[in-house]
Amino acid sequence: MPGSVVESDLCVATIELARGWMSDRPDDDQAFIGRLARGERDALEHLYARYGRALYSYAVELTHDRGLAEELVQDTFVAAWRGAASFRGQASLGAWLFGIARRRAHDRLRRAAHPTMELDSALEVPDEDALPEARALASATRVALRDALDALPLHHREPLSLLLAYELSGRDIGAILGIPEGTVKSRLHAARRALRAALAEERTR
Amino acid sequence: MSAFHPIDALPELAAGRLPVDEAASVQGHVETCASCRADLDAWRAVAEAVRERSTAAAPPADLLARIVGQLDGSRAARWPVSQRLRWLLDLVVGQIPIVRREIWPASAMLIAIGAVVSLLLTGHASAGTVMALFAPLAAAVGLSLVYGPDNDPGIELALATPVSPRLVLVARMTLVVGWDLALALTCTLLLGALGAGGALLPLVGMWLGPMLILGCLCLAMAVAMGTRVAIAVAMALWAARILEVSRPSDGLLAPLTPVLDAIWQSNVAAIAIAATALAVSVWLIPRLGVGAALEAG
Repeated sequence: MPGSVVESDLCVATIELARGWMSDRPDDDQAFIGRLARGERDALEHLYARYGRALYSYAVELTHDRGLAEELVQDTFVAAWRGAASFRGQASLGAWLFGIARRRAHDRLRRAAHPTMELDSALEVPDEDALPEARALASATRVALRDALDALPLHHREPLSLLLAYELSGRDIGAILGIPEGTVKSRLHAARRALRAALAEERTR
Repeated sequence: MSAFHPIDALPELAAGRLPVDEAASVQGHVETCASCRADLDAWRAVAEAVRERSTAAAPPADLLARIVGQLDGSRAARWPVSQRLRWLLDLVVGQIPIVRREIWPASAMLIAIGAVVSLLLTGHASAGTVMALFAPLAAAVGLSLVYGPDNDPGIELALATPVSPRLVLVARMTLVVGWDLALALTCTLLLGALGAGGALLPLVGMWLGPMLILGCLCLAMAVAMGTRVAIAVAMALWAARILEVSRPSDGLLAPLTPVLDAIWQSNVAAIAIAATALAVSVWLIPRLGVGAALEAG
């Protein structure tokens, strides 16, 4: 019965969440994708248990729209199922799925001329002294930090989420965003400076 | 305090993404360096907020069911062709260990006998006529044994797979007909090489049609009435055909002549008749029901 399968998978998903989402074993990924390519249904269910929730959360972040995010996750798993044979293992399984979701989000939002995806040309925040910045962030309340994150443009928030929430490696994030791994690191630092600036702005408001 | 500050490693340390040995060395530095410690604290605070934000959104409980539903709905229509072909090939090859093993030597023996008789009768009967008697018999016996409770040692296996019994039937038919075709073609080529055949294509044409028709008829009879009936009918038709060919003037078999002529023909109609028999078998399969098959077994 499909209902019970979904429920048990949610339990598995919760356990997987607690363990962390990503696999660091490319061999496992390859074996897993082989099962998917052969059309094994339980491989799809495990894939969903492992990545469904993270991908959904990422899709909400990209689109700010839960309905659209659901469609994106659906699209992503269907595309993964059909395209499993073309997976070459250059990035991890997680990076592959996040990459599919991101491309699909871009396609959809471009079609709808959605206002929430900004281009990467947004303002860069000047490099202030690192120590006061770090202390301000470390001492900020959680609510203030969340508000500041909400105010952050996507191109700053995205690398932060991919690393800190979805726990992807720098290499995988580079693959997803289509930038070199070194650039991922500078993006992360720029994002943190922007977060600090957003915090200061919240405070003056 | 070390002169080198591993500030690029700190976000990954906060995310728990650093390899263990690297994490230990960065952690060691952080403990002795106030500015890196402050930096790591900042990353940890950010990480916590980012995680909290990202776990706030949970997908609806039925999302997996919707994905599965979409895949089921479009499975046949939108799978990449290469993946579908591979799956079908796997399905056909996967039948090899499941069908009765006697099929392979029995077919080979019947076709080999046909080839030997053709050689012995060189000058008395054409190789095409002889092969048109033996190749169809091989297919008839093989396909009679292909399906049904008394022929399915792997029935539990078949029940455990999500593949429809119709598709399994077609896969097995493909496998057995493929085997018989390969054997008959090899023998025909050998006969040609030994000078007993004549032109290859007309020779193949003589046995191909009857082979497909009698084979598919036996498949349909085996599915509908069981293997024994199918083999008995096939043998009766075969004997009648031999009599008819060897003593055309007898007139004893006159009532059967239209039936025999319908089976032993090699033209487009032959393919249509074989296809109809196959369609009937495929149509009959689910009506029998796997439960009934198990009971009978």
